[in-house]
Amino acid sequence: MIAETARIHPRAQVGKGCQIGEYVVIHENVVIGDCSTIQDHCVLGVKGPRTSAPLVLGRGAIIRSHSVLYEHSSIGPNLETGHHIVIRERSTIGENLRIGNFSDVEGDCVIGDFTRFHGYVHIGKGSKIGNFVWVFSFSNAANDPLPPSDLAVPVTLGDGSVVCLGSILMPGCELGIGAFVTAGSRPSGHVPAGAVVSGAPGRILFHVSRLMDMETGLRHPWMAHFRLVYPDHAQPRLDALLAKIMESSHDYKAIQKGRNRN
Amino acid sequence: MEKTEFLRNLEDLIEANPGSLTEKSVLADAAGWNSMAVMGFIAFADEDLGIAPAPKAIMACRTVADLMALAGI
Repeated sequence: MIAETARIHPRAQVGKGCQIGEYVVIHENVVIGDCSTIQDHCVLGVKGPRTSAPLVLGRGAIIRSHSVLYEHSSIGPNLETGHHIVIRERSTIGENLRIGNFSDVEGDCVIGDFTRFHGYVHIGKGSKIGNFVWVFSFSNAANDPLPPSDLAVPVTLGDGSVVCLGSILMPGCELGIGAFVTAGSRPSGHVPAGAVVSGAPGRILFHVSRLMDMETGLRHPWMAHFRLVYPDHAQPRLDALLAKIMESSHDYKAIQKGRNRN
Repeated sequence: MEKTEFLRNLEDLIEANPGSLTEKSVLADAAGWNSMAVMGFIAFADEDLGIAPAPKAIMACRTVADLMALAGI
């Protein structure tokens, strides 16, 4: 069903069974997969600098109202957005990204499968984000080491890493697989696989398997106890990731002492 | 582990100034004594002291001396 007020360019490709809301604008260079829902006031396929390729949305996308997606990006199936999100050009995004209200992904990003950004998350240009990553609200992946400048030093977030509320990933920060950033932290540089980093500047504390809920004794890594939110075909990948994180072991004290802090 | 070394490790763990903690120091008065520090203390106890104190036993400690007693120092 396509709302009467929606404006769809004749050369845009809209798949079967899509629902297009009121006042949606779909520009020329857009391919929308079947069974997608584009809610009111969204704009898809905006031109950006050096864009030419289409915006390709996999099937089953749910794009909530007032969101803006630029052309020249490829997004896998089952994208789900909140309201007022922005995804800029030349990004490659895997299956089932979920991105919360008012978040934005700047251009040239690579994002894996099943990654989750909560609301008000900013992902800087050129960020490389793995599979099963969680970034919680008001976190910021910076990329300019000397703002304002054209120096782009984007962050890298390994598979299964977690960035808690209100953290700032400094330019060039590399989180290893399964790394965990506690709320309000400011990590920089290389954070080893499975490490918990906390504070501003970020301080490496211990292996993520030490993280626990004091009342229940529930422990990290999270994929040992929080995996039913993912479909069946993701489960073997979670098993493999969990095993890798548990194998990762480092002398965190030595790493901490040898680190430069920003 | 000697008491002095224990204190230096604890200061490092909670990011307190070196030499600022004594056995009489009240944990609740230390800004860095929080849930992350408790987990850090568990890691320290396991890796450096070879013991596994229960989180609730750690949280029940009022002073540094209580922590030392728990750790068998």
